Formats: sequence, structure tokens, C-alpha cells
Amino acid sequence: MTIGQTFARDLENESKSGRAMLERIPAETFDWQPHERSMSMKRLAGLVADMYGWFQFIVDEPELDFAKGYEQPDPKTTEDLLTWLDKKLAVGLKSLSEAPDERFEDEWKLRRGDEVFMTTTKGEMCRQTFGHLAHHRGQLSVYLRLKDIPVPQIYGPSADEGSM
Amino acid sequence: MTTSTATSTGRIAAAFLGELENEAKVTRTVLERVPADKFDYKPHEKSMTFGRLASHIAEMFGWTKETLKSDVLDFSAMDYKPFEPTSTEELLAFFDDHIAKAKAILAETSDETFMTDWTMRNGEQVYFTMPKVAVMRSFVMNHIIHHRGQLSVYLRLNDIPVPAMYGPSADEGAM
Repeated sequence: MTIGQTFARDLENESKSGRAMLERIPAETFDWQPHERSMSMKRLAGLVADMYGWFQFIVDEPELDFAKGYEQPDPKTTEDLLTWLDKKLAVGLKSLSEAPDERFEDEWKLRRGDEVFMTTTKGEMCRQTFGHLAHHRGQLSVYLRLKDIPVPQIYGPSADEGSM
Repeated sequence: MTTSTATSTGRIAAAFLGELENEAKVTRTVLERVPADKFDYKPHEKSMTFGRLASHIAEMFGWTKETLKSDVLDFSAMDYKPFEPTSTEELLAFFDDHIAKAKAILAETSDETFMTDWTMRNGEQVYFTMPKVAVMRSFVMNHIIHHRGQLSVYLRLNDIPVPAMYGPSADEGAM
């Protein structure tokens, strides 16, 4: 298995709990936010759905430049969220599975025009993105709980589902 | 049950050590901000309390030992006592101790050990068997990050500034 195929296998595994959460989020909760400084349900859920696709530009592009614009998800329905997830997951998996091992040693940059926020390797950026995804998905699980939406099993049982 | 004897730091362990260093730094910043007078707070009746969630995150770094020094975790053979801190200092001391132990264990783990299978079970019932490297990645590291993400919402709900983690929060850091 190549490095990319290993990442792809992990991404597929990590997408199951993400999907289980997103499919439970009713559109009427999209504008809700737990605190005035928090992301809305729609923004956080859209971000989680979108992140599965980040592996595409990490693996295939030398950088992400915010100055060039970025298409944000703007779901109106639960279906839209799932469609976004499926589309992003598919491109993420494709880029990861096709990349040769050497690619992960290449440099990758996050910038806005002349301002460079981060320079790292593609491999390190992939690893970090897995963490970043788990971070926001963890936040989303609290949003679900606060809206009395049953929290699915993630790494183990939740207070609502699964048993050990 | 223990696995093969210790050898020098492998390449996989070296990568995890770097990652552990980073994650520990961020996690400490988060734990430092959990006030003892809020340990009993919970955002919902079915949620973990602030104190329990924070100490769970701290103790999970200690799972490095269960993952790398054993081949099986059997709940039916465990005598688990959740750690209950009475102060933020106590929480941090417990955390620092687990980090130091996790680093020492990683430093003596060979690549070969990471490729051996690890099983989680409850007596007869087997939940999963995966190579140790995958257990460290998913069940330990990503799992910690998951709960730390939850804790960041608890901070926000209590008007405690959320530190920058992977990028700026609404309170700190800038891009």
C-alpha cells in the first residue's frame, strides 16, 4: 500500500462518523449557534463536509492561496450537506490513492497573496488535516447534543448510541 | 500481555513524538483554562461534565502505554477508576505526568512493534483488531483531538477565550 492509499483508507474510515452526524442535522437548525461567537450549525457542518476534500488541493497543488477565492459550501438542506460531503470525499480519496510516495515529501504552502501563513510538507499537512477534521467533528457532536439530536458512535459509544 | 523488548526509537515513533509534542502544547493551553469552579458544569444532561471531559483528555495520552506495551485491551479485566481532579493544577500535573510517560514509551518503540496487531475486547466479545500504528493514529491521537474539540465548545459556552488551534479562533490568533 502506498502512503496515499493508507491515508485514503483512514479517510474513508473517518468519513463514516462524519456522515452519520451530517445526515441527522435538520435544515431548521442551520442558523442556530450555541454562542454569539460560535459558528452556526450550517457553517460548522458545511466545514466538516468540505474538509474531506482538502486532501485534493494538498496532494495535487503546491499551495492554497485565499486571495484566489475559495468556493464555500452553502447548503440549504440536509441533502445538500450530504451531496457536498460525497463530492468532496470522492475527490479527496482519488487524489490520495493516485499520489506516488515521493509526493508527500513536497513542500506545501498556505497563503493569502504575499502573506504566507504556513510552509510544510504535503505529508505533514495531510496528517494535520486529519486532526483538524476530528477537531471540528468533535465540536459538531456537541452541537448535536445541544439540539437533542442523538450523537452517533464515533470512536466508541456515545451517551445515546452503541455499547461496550 | 507484553510485546517484544524495547529497542531504539523507530521512524514511526519519531514521527509520533513530533506530533505528540505539538498536540500536547495545544492541549495544555486548553486544559489550563478550565477553572475548577466549573468542573461540574455540563452543557446538557447527557453530556460529560467539564472536569470529566478535561481529565478524560489528559488520561487518553496515557493510552500510549496500553497501545504499545500490550497487544490487547480487555475491559473485563480492567479496574478503571476515572481521575477526578479538584483543581486545575492537579489536572495539569496529571496531564504532564501522562505526557512524560507517553514520550518515554514512544522513544523505545521500534517500527516493527508498530506493525503488530492490537485487539480491543470485552472478554469474549472482540471490538476490533488493527496494527498498533493505526490504533495510535485513530483510537489515541484523533480520539484525543475529537474530545478536545468538544472541550473548546465548553470553553466558548462559558465565555472562556478559545485558543487558536489549527488556525485562529474567534477569540485569538489572526490570519
